[in-house]
Amino acid sequence: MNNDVDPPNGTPIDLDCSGTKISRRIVIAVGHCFFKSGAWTDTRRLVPAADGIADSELGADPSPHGSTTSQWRYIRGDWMDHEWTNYDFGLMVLYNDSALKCWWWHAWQENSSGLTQDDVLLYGYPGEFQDCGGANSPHDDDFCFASIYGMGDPVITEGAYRFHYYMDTQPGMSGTGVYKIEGSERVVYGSHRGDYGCCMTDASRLNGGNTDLIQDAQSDHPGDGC
Amino acid sequence: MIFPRTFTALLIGAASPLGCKSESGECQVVSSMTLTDDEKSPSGTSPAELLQLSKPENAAFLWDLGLDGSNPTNAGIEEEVSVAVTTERASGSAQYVVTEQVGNTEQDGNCGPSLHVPVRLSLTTSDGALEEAFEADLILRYATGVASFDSSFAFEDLNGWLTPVAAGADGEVHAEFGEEVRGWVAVVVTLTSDGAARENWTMAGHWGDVAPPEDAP
Repeated sequence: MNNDVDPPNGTPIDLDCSGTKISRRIVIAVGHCFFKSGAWTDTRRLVPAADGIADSELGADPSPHGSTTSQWRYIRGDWMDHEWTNYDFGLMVLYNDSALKCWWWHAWQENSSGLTQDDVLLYGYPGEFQDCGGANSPHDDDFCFASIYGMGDPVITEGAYRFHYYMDTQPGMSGTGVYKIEGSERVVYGSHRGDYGCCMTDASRLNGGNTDLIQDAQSDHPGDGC
Repeated sequence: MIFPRTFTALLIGAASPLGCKSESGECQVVSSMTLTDDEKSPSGTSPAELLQLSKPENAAFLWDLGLDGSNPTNAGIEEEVSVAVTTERASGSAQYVVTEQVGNTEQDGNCGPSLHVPVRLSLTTSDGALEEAFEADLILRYATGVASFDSSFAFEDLNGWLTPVAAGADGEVHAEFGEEVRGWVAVVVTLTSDGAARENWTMAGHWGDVAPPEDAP
């Protein structure tokens, strides 16, 4: 996800955050992608399956599936009022007229416990100028260049609002869907948020409050068709 | 796939204390210095040179519709309009600022060195909808080479006749100078209720090369 006017076809992508489409019109992320330090950010545009390496290495279009500007953004009230970590959750609502409305989406699962020791995965978009290390970047400068990057690992600890794991992530990966593989399906349980303590990172889980936000947005802005 | 809400609420109430304050992941200032207008910054640009970059522009101006076809303002979208954009130095000191990303949330803050010069940006459209002057910093971000200006406004404070369709909406103006000269005026609606805050942002009009609300591949 980036701001309103950069790319589709610019270089660099100016990526701000990652996100996960979970229904026709809803893209979940975290609250600080949309509202931070007391003000709304300009992160409003969805560039699904962005490819910053293709852009920077080959001059190819970094938005192979196009892009779209969101119609609405939702955050938790307690995130707006206090920016409390436990309420760091938000979402974008696409226009009902968007061509990306019927682009595929992930399954998701409301949850508030029971993830410890479960394997979870996350694949998101580190920012252009973040250092991905030599093995993970074709660039001489080792920059990530907004190309998808991720891994899997078990959940180590959890609370009712967040769950925590040892996965090395970079700025730009906030909002990445954290999912489990259930049968043949990827099922999202939370949105990657940031560091936790000295060594772990964590996700805002899709607990009751965050599920309410999703369902309120879906109720306010239903998507038909597909 | 959704558990009953009452079950979930019970678990939250029993298991978790209130959240702690986030250590915001953002660009924090690590150094800053005041410059005279003719003094070059450590990155090589003086405030006077930045003002030269933002030279006056006359450009075609297009009033925009949302992706759903709705007009966010009372502007006539069929009319051919031009806009005159000028910047002049406003009072206040110019600053060279270096920021680094800190904190524990993982939004990419696009931090780095930047030059800030207080300016007054005048924006006048040929249809009379906008006859305004806005004051804020013109900011040159060295990582991108783009100089930009951002300001919020209340529609009732405008000299022109532009008004939003949505009651209680505010406005934003953005201008960019550099290889690409472009900018826009936007309508912003913010609602708070039921433990949620909602924001609707719609571009009302623009000049220069601005991406449309949707760009199919």
